[in-house]
Amino acid sequence: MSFFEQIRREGQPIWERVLEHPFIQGLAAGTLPDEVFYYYVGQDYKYLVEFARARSAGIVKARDLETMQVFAEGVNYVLSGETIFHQRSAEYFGKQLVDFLPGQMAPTNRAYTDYVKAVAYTGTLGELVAASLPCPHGYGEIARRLLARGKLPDHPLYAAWIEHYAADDLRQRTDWTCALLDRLAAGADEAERARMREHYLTCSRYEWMFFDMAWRQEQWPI
Amino acid sequence: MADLSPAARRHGAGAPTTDDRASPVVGLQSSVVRRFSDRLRALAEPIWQAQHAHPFVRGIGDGSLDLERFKHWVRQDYLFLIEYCRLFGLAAARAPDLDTLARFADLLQATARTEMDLHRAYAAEFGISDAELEREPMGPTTRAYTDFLLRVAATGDFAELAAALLPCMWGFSEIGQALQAGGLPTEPRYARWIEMYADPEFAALADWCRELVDRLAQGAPEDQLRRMEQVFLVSSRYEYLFWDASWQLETWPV
Repeated sequence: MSFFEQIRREGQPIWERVLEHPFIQGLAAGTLPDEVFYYYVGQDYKYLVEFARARSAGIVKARDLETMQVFAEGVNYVLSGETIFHQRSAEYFGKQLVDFLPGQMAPTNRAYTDYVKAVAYTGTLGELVAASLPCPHGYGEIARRLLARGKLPDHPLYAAWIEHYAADDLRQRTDWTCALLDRLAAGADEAERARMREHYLTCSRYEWMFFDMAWRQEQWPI
Repeated sequence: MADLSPAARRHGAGAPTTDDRASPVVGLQSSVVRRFSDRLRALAEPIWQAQHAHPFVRGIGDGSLDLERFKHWVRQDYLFLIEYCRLFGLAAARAPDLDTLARFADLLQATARTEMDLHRAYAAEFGISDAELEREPMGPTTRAYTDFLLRVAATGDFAELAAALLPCMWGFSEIGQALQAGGLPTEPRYARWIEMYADPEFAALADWCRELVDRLAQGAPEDQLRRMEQVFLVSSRYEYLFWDASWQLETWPV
């Protein structure tokens, strides 16, 4: 069993709970309130910018040019490709994408992105890849599970979310990253592999917490 | 550097004048209003002139440069470019705003993909294989220059990072244009090298980097401006030493 397959199985219960979360259930049914999704997009766009920063910082630690190239493409995809969905969301709400930049990062968003950035700056490349995998991998899995149910929600934006994240190009990109993780794990010692596993599970938890943050429209308590 | 008059100090060094918002102004006592990047360029003038005058650079211009020395440059530059990608990665990660982040992310990708492909194709024209490029050991100067750049990028402030990048981006454009103006050599590979760096697109990139440095200098405290000057000078020195290393076919002495 590959390293990624091992940690994916360990994290599976977390992702089952993501699938059951009222945010995802509401999205799939088309009943998720608009204001909740608006909150989610605003936080998610801020998240993606920080995620791109973390990935960029990770390039410093890449051992070979191919890894640098794929990371570089990934960063640009996050900044322009992935945000096509966010652009569409902005239009739906009568806004511009830049309107989502100001305003505070919610506590959970802050914590999640700071965690990934800390790993990017202080951990190995393998650790960064492990920390940054739950997002693309998890979203792909959730979206494909929802798509497999057969009926897309009537809500145009929610249907678009499912189709966007279930898409093949995203899957190919993620598969390459999983293969990279396995290669890096093979070259890592026990201590590093343990940290990689820890980052993957923690960030999977943060993914659940992110949807929960959006559902509650989380604010700073003080 | 002249002391600022009390009047200038009241306005604040580095603050933009009201009639020229496009270019940040420093040294208000001087009757010549100039950009911070111009100030950097003036400080580094002897070093930049030495680059233009270096037999390696002159040799590309008139086509007389020994092929073995140029091939050394091609192999070392390949390694330099890989490190430059890391630098762009850090620059993107630390960029103060989304536009700058996006620009560096774009530069990162352009360098990691297009630039590296071009470089490999160019190297092949000199009979240098991909394998040879990959097994080339980093020479002392390449090692020192790239480690300096990465250290500034990781530990300096963002303004220093930008100032450290500028001599390479701006210098190559300036050298390319100067050599082109002097007439292209008959050796087609050297001619193409000159045309690449004399290209208006490359000049536009250099301009963007200058504007970034000017923007970051705007309103910056004196000690930060000093640090920007210092890294600009050190990078400029390394630019000179990089030409010289290939001229000398530099290897590790031990």
